[in-house]
Amino acid sequence: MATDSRELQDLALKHKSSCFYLSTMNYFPNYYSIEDIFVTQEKVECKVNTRLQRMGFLDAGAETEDLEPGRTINLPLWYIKELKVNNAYFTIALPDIYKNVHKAVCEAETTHIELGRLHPFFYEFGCYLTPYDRNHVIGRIIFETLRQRVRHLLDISKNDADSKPDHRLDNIEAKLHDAGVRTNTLYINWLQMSGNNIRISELVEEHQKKRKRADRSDDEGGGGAGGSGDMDMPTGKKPSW
Amino acid sequence: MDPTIVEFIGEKCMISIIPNFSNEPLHLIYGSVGPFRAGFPVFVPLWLAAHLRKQQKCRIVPPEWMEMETLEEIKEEEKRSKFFTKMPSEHYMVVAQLVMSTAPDDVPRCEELRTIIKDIFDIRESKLRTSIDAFIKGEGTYAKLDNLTLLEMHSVRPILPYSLDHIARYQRMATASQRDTSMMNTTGGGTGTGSMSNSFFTQ
Amino acid sequence: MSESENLEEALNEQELNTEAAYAEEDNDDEDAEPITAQKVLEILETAWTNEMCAPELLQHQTDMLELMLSQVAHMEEQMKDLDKNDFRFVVHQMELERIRYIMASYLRCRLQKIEAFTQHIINQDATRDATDKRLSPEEAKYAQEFASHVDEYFNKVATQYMPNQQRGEAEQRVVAPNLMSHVFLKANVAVSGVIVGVDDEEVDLAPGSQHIIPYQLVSDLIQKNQAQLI
Repeated sequence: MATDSRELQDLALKHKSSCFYLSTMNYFPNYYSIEDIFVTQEKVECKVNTRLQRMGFLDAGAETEDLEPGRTINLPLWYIKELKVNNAYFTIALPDIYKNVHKAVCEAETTHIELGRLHPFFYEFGCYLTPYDRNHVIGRIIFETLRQRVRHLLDISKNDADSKPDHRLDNIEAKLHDAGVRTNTLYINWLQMSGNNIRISELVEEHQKKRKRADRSDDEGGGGAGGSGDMDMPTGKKPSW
Repeated sequence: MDPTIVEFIGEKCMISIIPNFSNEPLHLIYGSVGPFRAGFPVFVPLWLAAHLRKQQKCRIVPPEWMEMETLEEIKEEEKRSKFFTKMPSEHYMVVAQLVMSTAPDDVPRCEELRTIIKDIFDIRESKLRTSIDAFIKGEGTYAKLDNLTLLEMHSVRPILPYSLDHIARYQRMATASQRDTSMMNTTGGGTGTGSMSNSFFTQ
Repeated sequence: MSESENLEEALNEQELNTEAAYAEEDNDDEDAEPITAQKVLEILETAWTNEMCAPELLQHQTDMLELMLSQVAHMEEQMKDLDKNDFRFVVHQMELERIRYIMASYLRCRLQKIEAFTQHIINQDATRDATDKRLSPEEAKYAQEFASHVDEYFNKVATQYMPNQQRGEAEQRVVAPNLMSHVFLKANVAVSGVIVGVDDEEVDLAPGSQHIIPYQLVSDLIQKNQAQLI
């Protein structure tokens, strides 16, 4: 489930780059947010409290037409969140991942946790579950976890830009990391004054890459006709400046 | 805001040049510059200085602080001080970078200067990171950043404000649910832009 | 007398023209002071950086933009007769390009916000008095058209096929900015008693002091130009 949504998520996020402003802004949940849709797509374990007539189809293992009390089923968050916290039909079982990091949070030892592996939307998922937690622990846990990990995020986004620690970061953290890496790259480019050349936009660049790829498969074995017209450099490669 | 915009803003700084031509004053919208008299120093905005230098129409006079002894002092002071010291120019990095890249010949000991200015920036940046750490650990949402220059702020942008936004949002969420157990099907993570601003800070 | 001095005089004159234009425009306002092109530029520069840093759309600056646009147009008119390689031409041209960049970047930034928070901005402006509108008349028109195009598009591809009750979620679909976003702030003047945090903690801001703080706590200071975003 987690890996599936990770792939989908990557795909969707690539698409999103077309809306520049929203994609450069900090994540803030809204109706159209693809992240929010992914989070609310996640399944939550629920215990059935009363007999629900002709709802048996919700339970893959059930042989009855009705959904019987005491059964445990997985329901998507987008459905659950529309019900009252203390509704008569389902009791939500909170996932163990939050309990599991509790100790680390108390000991302020959260930097080594592979958060992305625990849950790709560790924070946002936790956010939605907070109202269902009668012990008020989850809210505190996600808040404390991020608070403890920010310094680490700042450090790794400055120091190892190339090795993105995918499984260590949740979606929110990965975005913060990307932002940090971007800042650092721009700064280094600026220091070397290499940013002064006008560059083609990322969109155009993507398009050209695609065309090149297509050209290459056409050209295979056909020689470099239709090159750049630069006599000295038959390969069509020009020194970059 | 990326470094090129910080540079654009910093290019408004005035700097002294020695032109090798003469001309009447120019009435720019931003203010008048000139008159230009060959061999005599005149103050112009940095963007104009860089342009004239590239055209070989002037020599740039490096600002007073762009000199080893002064910068050594600044560096030591920065190391000693717990807080950010006041820099000789609000855009010291931009000025240094532009002057030294367009007119390295006009700056004595250019390479040494480059290194020491970078050192100062690095010391300040790591100080910034340490104070950010303390600030976040202290559950703050507000901090004073006196004497920090624009480019230095930029070094933690947008990652710092973005992180603080999330932390504050999760804190609001945690506090809100604690206060009101029966809180239900509102829009999950999106809660609290206006009405909850007070609960934001309670611990 | 050389042509150059004529030009510079002509360019200089324009500042007076601008002042006159401004005074005329606001002549029902007793306090209207003449304004120089330099001052207009400063106001626009501040509006530009504020707009880039603020999470929400700020008040429009149509008056200042129009003054600056006419100043730029006038200067270009004056420069027409100059040789393109003339020192003065090049320098004036460079400055105009810088100013044009600021104006374009400023307007582009506003458009991006308008496209991101269209309905929210329209709704908010509907509750404001004519003098307090955030959108300029042109922007308001753009926002309305943008909103109706988006609605029409959604209707064509999706909502028309949905049951009636699901079409009405207009309120839910409004995208609003996070006003508690942290911003970098510089105080222009001394401001006392700004609420900044825990238990309504208050601080006094010294002129020139810099802070990082949630936008909503200081948005009124920006509005009143007591502080600016950096």
